[in-house]
Amino acid sequence: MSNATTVEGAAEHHEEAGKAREAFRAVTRDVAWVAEAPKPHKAWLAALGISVLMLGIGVVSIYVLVTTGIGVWGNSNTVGWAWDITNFVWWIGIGHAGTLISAVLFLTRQSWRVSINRAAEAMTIFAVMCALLFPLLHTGRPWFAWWMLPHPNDMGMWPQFRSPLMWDVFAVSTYATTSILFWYMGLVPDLATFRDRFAAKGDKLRAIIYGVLALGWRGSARNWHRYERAYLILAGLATPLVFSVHSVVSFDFATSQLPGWHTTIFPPYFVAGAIFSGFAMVLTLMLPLRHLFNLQHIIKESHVEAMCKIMLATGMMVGLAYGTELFIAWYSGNLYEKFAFANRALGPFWWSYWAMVSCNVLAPQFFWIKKVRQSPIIIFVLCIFINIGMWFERFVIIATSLARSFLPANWSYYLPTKWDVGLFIGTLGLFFTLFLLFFRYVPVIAIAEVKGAMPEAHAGGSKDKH
Amino acid sequence: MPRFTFPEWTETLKKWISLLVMGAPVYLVALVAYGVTPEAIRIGYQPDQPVPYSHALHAGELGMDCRYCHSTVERAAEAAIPPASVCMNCHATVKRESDALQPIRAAYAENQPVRWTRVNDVPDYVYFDHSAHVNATIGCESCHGRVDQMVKVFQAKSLTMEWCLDCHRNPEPHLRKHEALTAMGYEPGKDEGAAVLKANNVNPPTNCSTCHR
Amino acid sequence: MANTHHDEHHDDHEPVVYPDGALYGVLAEYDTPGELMDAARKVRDAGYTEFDCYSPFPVHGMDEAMGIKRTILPLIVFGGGVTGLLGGIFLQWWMNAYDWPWNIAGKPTWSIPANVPIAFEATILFSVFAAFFGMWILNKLPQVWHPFFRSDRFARVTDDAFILGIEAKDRRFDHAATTKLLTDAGAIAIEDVHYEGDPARKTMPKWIIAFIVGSTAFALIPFAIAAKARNSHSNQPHIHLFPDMDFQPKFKSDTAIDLFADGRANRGEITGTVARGSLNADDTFYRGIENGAWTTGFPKQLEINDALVKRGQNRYNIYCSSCHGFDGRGSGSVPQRVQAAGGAWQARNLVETGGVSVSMPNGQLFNTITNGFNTMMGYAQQIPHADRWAIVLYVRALQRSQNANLDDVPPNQRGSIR
Repeated sequence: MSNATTVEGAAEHHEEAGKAREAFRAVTRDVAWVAEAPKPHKAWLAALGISVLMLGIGVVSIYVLVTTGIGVWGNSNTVGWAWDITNFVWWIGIGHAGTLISAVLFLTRQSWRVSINRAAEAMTIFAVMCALLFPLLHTGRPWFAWWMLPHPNDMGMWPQFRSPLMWDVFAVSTYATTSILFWYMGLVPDLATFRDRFAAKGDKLRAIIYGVLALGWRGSARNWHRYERAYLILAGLATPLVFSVHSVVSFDFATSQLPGWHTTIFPPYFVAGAIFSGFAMVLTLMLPLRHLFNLQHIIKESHVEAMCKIMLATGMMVGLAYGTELFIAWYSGNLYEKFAFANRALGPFWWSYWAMVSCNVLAPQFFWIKKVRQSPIIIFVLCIFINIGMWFERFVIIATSLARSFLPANWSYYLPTKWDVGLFIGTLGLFFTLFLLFFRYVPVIAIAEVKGAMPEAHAGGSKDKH
Repeated sequence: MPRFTFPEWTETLKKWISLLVMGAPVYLVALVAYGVTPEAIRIGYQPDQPVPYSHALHAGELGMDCRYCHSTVERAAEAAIPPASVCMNCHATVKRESDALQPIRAAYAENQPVRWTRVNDVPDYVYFDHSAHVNATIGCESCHGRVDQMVKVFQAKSLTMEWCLDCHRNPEPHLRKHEALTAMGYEPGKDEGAAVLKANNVNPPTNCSTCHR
Repeated sequence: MANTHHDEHHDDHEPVVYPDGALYGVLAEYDTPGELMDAARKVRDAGYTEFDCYSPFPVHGMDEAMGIKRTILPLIVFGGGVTGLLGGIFLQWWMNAYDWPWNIAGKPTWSIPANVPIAFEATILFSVFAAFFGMWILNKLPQVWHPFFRSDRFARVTDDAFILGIEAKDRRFDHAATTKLLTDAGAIAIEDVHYEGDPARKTMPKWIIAFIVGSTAFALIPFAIAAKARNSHSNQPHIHLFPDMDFQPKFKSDTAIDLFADGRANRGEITGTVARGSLNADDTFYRGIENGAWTTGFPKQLEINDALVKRGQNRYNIYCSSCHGFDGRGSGSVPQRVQAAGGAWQARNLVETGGVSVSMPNGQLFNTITNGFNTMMGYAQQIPHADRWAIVLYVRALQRSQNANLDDVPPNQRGSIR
């Protein structure tokens, strides 16, 4: 490795090229400093402390649930699905924005996605992990969850593939797997960046960890060629997948006979709601972190605005679905359907219905105003409302329909217990804990993709073209 | 200190790790298939009993019918574990001084049960009726094995749900003529199962609530 | 740049300096992605094949400049997708329609619509696996070691550097000519990269080998345990990892309960009560007494026929033959064994002409079965009433047959006996 020579005279536009290189270095620096800072930010530590505390509440709730039984929840014979499945669907919905941003916006060449796709994908994975906890625990015997996977067993039984709950198992696990692989694949070049930075600093431990995770990536053009092809293919595969997952989740309800569930509009209605809530959660997370870690020049105002517009659109789709449900209930002439929807809006759960409508349909209307779309604080508040509203949407669908099913003798009311709430807080804690750890230790912005999207990255300015 | 780079031997290590990654699933499947199966876990359970009662002697050498002691098997869900009085049918006279039989004599004298340990047990959520099976002429041997050769009884069959269902889905190979119900080592003749199936109208249900009531 | 690797064993001494190994290749850094691309085109035009460009992000147009052929990855993914689709359909068909046709609410065991979601998800899943793993395998990654990583310049590829590397193994490689080509293409820096000279960096450390050998040996232990479990009996029940409802707080027949002094879950009749249908008022049927004396006939409830004799034979063989013998002559397996052991115990000969069994009225025979006789214990709890009568009937038949003479045989069959 001797003979390092600098060739003189071949650098007329050296200065310009130096500026471009400095811009690339700046991107690396801006992302890497979070992980390289010897001491974490105080706000980060405080947030992690709170998150771990919430996670602890969840652990206690799970312990009580598993050692005692599902009876500690507020579920009853009538309302057999309630808080738990509400949370499952809510988390799965939140998990949709990540893949949507990385896949659908990639295919539609929305270059602004590169600033947030990494974080949104991470959010997807963590949200799906939280979501999976609920059906898993609701089975009552989570240690038998593997029974749902087709395998030869000493019961002589196979899974029943005509059940939408089985479809759900396949859809959600495929989604989780795909999201993780997609995310990891995107991470590899950036982990290589971290590897080289820590190696240069003499931090051998981190150099080894990031080095192993980077799989020996060395930015070779031959590797990039297949990498980009694989990325495009994965985006193409993830796009139908993301639409199928929430459709399948909606089948859990739509294929049943219960008034309020037995509806053909469920798949698009659920998918729109999922994207809606997913973007709200992305902004809920990214707005404070963007401020805290000075990422405004990467996550630009225009990016935030684009997301607000998507929320406005999907929010109105959800509103249209609410209206359609009411119209069809009336138009069908079906006594039970009519009752189910009248009961939703005016029955004992009226408060949840109107919370849903005001948060999901009315709140996003503020996004029509440009000033609102440019004010991070107002956006943050509206996103919180949307998160709450989308939670209520699932609650309204699940609890109100079950509490007033066909037989009046079975009617009841649903109230969660402290263990219901505890588990939900726990999943929030798990989600934020993982997200904060991700933010500190993993390249939070797709460095290579951001560089690739910069004007300096284009090879067009070469001096002699062939 | 030089900048850290991975040494060249990591290429050798990579081969080992890829072997591990490819081998681990094979290893795990093989281990589960070999070690976490009823053959390894359930079959062969041979608990100690309060009295060293030998089925090999009574059912084998003496040729006593199973039903001599397990007299309710044709009439009830349970094949009765005989009370001490049944033992005393013979042992009031035979081997009346034996130390091994002391618990039986004591139980008989004091009208206390002998606490045998159950060998063949199904979980409590399984409903099983001996009379239904015996009257459809499933031989004792089908589920209990060659009891006539067991000095100390052990669990001979897996008693798993798959094992139950195998027979419920296709009972024919396990049916025998009624005279051979308690015979051990009996080989049903050709077409014997089919004939019994037809004659007794054996049609075992396979829905969940057959056993899980 | 000389390599100074610290050998752990020589810490107190001068660090051992190994000379560099053979030349691996030449690196040339370029100012911009565009210049890198131009250089790549020149290198390619010069006929080199063992070269590559390295950049922090994919440079568009580079594939064409370097002459990279389109990857076969899409074909692999297609293969994965087809496998997933067919696999998903086959899985569902085989499991729910073929191996065990599962009747769910009378719906067809096999219909396409209900099986679309899982077939779809399996298609996606296998395609994703094919794309992800296929890409890494085609890229020959992971490979954490590479000679180029030794160059500090090369380490900047993941940050801001645009580098072209030509490997020495290329058949057109000539150090001077290659260096000149790269320089002429506008390189701002040229650097030779050599293999490492330190042999310790090439051979795997002993402790890793020891670990591999050790863990492989350790991995065999579970198999040994399983082999033992398969081939031996145990007096311990299997471990109920998750007891769930294997043991429920309910009591089945012949189970134990601490609530009662005798520990039996089976409770007998309560003194002074009669269970419904168990009054047993009929003296003849239940006790063999008719008009205050042993009955000589059979209770009117029983129809005396072939079937009852057969039933009696069956029950006799179960309950009586062990002592009295199948022929009723008292030479059952139990007395035989007692006598063989030097004992003097003899079961009664039931068929002896003039014996007490022959002269007993039916009712007394019945009573003997119920309550016993001399050393014989009663069989009331083992044999239901009707079966006891069947045995009485069969004993009568035995007595007849065991003492029969030729006159008892139908005339047309006498010939076959002699």
